[in-house]
Parts: sequence; C-alpha cells; structure tokens
Amino acid sequence: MALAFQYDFNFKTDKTNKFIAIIFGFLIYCMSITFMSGIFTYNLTENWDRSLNGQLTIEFPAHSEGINSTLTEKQQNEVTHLLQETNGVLKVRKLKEADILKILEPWLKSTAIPDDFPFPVLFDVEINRNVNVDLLELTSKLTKISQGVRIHNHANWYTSIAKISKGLFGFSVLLSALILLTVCSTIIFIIKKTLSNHRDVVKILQLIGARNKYIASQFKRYYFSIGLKGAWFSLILSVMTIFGITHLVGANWINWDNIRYLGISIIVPIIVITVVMITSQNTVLYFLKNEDWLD
Amino acid sequence: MRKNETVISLDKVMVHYGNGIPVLKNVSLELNKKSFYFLTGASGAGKSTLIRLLYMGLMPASGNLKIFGENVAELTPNEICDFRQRIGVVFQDYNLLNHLTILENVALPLKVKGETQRAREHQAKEILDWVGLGNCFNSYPEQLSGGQKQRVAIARAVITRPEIILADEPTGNVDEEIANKLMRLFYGMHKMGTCVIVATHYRQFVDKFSFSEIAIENNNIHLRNNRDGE
Repeated sequence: MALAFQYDFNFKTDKTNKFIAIIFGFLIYCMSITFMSGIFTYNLTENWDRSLNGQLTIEFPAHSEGINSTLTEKQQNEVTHLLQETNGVLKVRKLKEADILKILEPWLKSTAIPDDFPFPVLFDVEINRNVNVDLLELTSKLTKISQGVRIHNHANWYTSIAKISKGLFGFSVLLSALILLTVCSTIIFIIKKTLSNHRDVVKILQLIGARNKYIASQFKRYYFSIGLKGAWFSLILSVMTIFGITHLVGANWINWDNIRYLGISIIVPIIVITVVMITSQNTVLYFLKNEDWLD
Repeated sequence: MRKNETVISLDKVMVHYGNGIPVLKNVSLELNKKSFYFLTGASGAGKSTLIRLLYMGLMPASGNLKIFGENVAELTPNEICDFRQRIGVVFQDYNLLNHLTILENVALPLKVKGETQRAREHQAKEILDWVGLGNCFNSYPEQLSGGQKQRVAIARAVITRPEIILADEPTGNVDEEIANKLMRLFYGMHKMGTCVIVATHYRQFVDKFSFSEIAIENNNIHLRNNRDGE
C-alpha cells in the first residue's frame, strides 16, 4: 500500500530520540532487577516467618562442662512431658540424629561420622505466637532435669532480620518508583524538545484541523514503540540474569521462583510502557494547551 | 445553503499584537459562499493577519467574528479544529512535510479526519490528478519545483472539499505561467461552490480576473465589487 502508517512527525531526525530505546531498556532492566530483589528479600523473610517464628530449639549439649553423656531416655521423656504441659506449647518433637547430622553437615564436611559421635539432644518446639511463654521459668525447670540446657528463641533474631528485610523491600519499591520517575522526566524533557523542533509540523496539523488529542496520539504511538524496544532489551537482560544466577547457585532451570521472576520481567515493562504512553500523551496535551503554536 | 449565504462575518473587529498597536481597526465585512475575493494591500498592511484571523489562528481583540454563522469566541478548542477542517489554507511557503510523500501530504487532512487508508489513497490520487501531479504520487516535496509544491499544497487544502479556501500569497514563489495555472485551480474551486480568498500584492491578477477585492488600507478594509462578488 502506498499509504502505510507514517508518523506526521519525522522523529528520526531527533538526535535525542536515537538512544532513548536503549536508555529505556536499561532503566526497565534496573527496575525489574530492583523489584525482583525486593520480592526475593520479602519472600525470604516471609518463609522464615512461616518456618521459624513461633519456633524454639531446646538444646542439651553432649559435652557441657561437667557433663559427659547425653540425656537418658527417662530424662528425654521428662523433658517432652514438661514441654507439652507448658502453657503455649503446641508441638514438641525430638530431632533424630539424622536430622542433626544434616544441620551439622556444613561444619563437619562429611556424613561419615563415627558411631560414638556425641550428638546433642535437640527438641523442636512449636509455640503459639499469641502466648508469651516465660522462657526463664522454662529454662529453670529444664535445668532441674539436666544441666547446661540452652533455649534458642528464633523470634529474637528473626525480628531484627524481618525489620532489615522489610526495610530493603521498601527501599526497592522506592528505588523502582525513582526509576519510573526518571523515565517520566526523560520523556517530558525529550517531548518538550521534540515539540519545539517540530513546531512547523504542529502548526500544519493544527491548520488542517487536527485536534490536540490527534497530535498527542502520534507521540503516544511513537513512545509506545520506543518503550516496546526497551522492554525487549530489558527482557533479554533479565532472562540472562535470572538464568545466570540459577546457574551459579546450581538450582533447576525451571522452578517456581524463576517463573515468578520471569513474570516480574514481563510485568514491569508493561507497567513502564503504560506509564510512558500516559506520560507522553499528557505531556503533549499540556504543552499544546499552554502555548500558541500558530505564531 | 442558499447561494448568498454568509460564511464569514466580521463586525467591528479589532486586531492587535502584543505591542498594542492595532493591525486591523473596526473591520466589518460579510463574505458569501460561492464567492471569490482578492485580498490586496501593501506589504505589512495586514493581509496575513486577516487570513490568520479567518483560520482562527488569532482571536479579535474586540468585535465579533462569525464563521459558518458561529461566533468564534464562543467555540471550544475542539470546535475550532472541526471548523478548520472546513477551511483550506494555502501559504506562500507551501508548508509541506518533507519526510512524507506527495500522496501522504495530500492525504493528511483526511487522516486527521479519521478516514480509512483506502479512502485517503483514492481521494488523494484523484485530487493529485486534478492538479496535474498524477505522475508523482511517491515523490517527496524536495524533488518538486516551486510550482509543483504549490499545487500539492492546494491539493491538500481542497481534498476535504472545504467551504472556504484561504490562500496567503500562493503565487509569491512561482513564475507568471505557473501563477496563472494556480489561479485557474482556485477558480475551479470557486466554480464548485467554495468561497475563495486569495491574498496577493500582484495588481495584474486582480485586474485580469476582475473578482471582488478586499483592500486593506490604513488598518481598515474596503470591499470593491469588481464583478459583483460572484
């Protein structure tokens, strides 16, 4: 067809528009990665919250000062009974040696452990988050059964980690918002310059009866195409990053986390493109409304 | 619409620019459909200002300007755009878009109106044939002579079958032979029922075609019916 789609504005002549797709691509990529990091940190904290908050680990060391043996069967039953009777305790589980071995494996470097290896006795205790268990009193009662008992309350350090990770998530959201703001500012600046460069075209279009909305739609369409190019660029970089990290940590290529991060790499560009289109249209409408172009 | 229906009406219109010095003072005028006017006056007399006023690129400082029976001061921006689609404007410097082909330039007003690509192409080819440029649809303005460019500008101005044609010194950049051809195109539009206003400082055209003349002298307007304003 002789009349294929053609912009009324010769955007190709604008030097500022030349690298804008790559700049947008980088900004969208930065935003995607920032957002992914935020989501990663948030999810990690949530997982910890689910698995650790409300959890106590009670440890009877194998070789405490003056104690050379682990708990006897009788003592273990007493501990289990005492814990089950304690107000707020929901579940008590004595960890098997195999479970302890898994925990110790990173430090021991090997699973080939001698039969007489002195394992500590560990109890995994789930407590009701809404009940304040008096840990001092519990320690005192447990000490009466066996000396050297230690209670590890995961809630103590989880609270600090949760604060930090939530802060990091908030920071990633703020950073994403700042990147989006940078994209918007760039568009406003470039459009102002482009409109000024193409003042004669605006004049001709207005003379033949083009509404401001028509002129703005040209810019909206153009910046949509620029945003789309940037989105592809960002998507390629994001996919490379996701699979690069997957390769480094030795995880499976296809897992729910990767699917989720790929989703973010697609959703973030869609959000940015939508914002780019809205910003470009409204910027053009603003400048057309507030200036006389038929001088 | 009756033959003598007024399409443009100025009532005690005053126009001035930022410095406050009036360019047009107390101008009253009524222009009818199917009429042809030459707009004359010395350089700087206000011909371009009047043209600009008529395509609503400028609003009167005082007085009433009515186009198609509507007071332009009361029109919304979108209504002004709709009215401009009923007015064709031709300039001395063509005002063509150099990155578009001739066909695309001519079809532009139809694109703005939202016509389909097929309809645009069909009508643009038809009108380019009418102005004698049927063999250079895909040329670019830079490849054309001044006279050809002006014919493209005229084709673009008339493609929507406007009710008013405003031409500001359309023959200023072409030789006499081409100027005569262009004048014949305007005459053709006038014969089809369009109100044509051609601003010119060439006296010979005014005398040769002997249409009505709107003369701007001393910031005021004098209407001379050389041919009873047909």
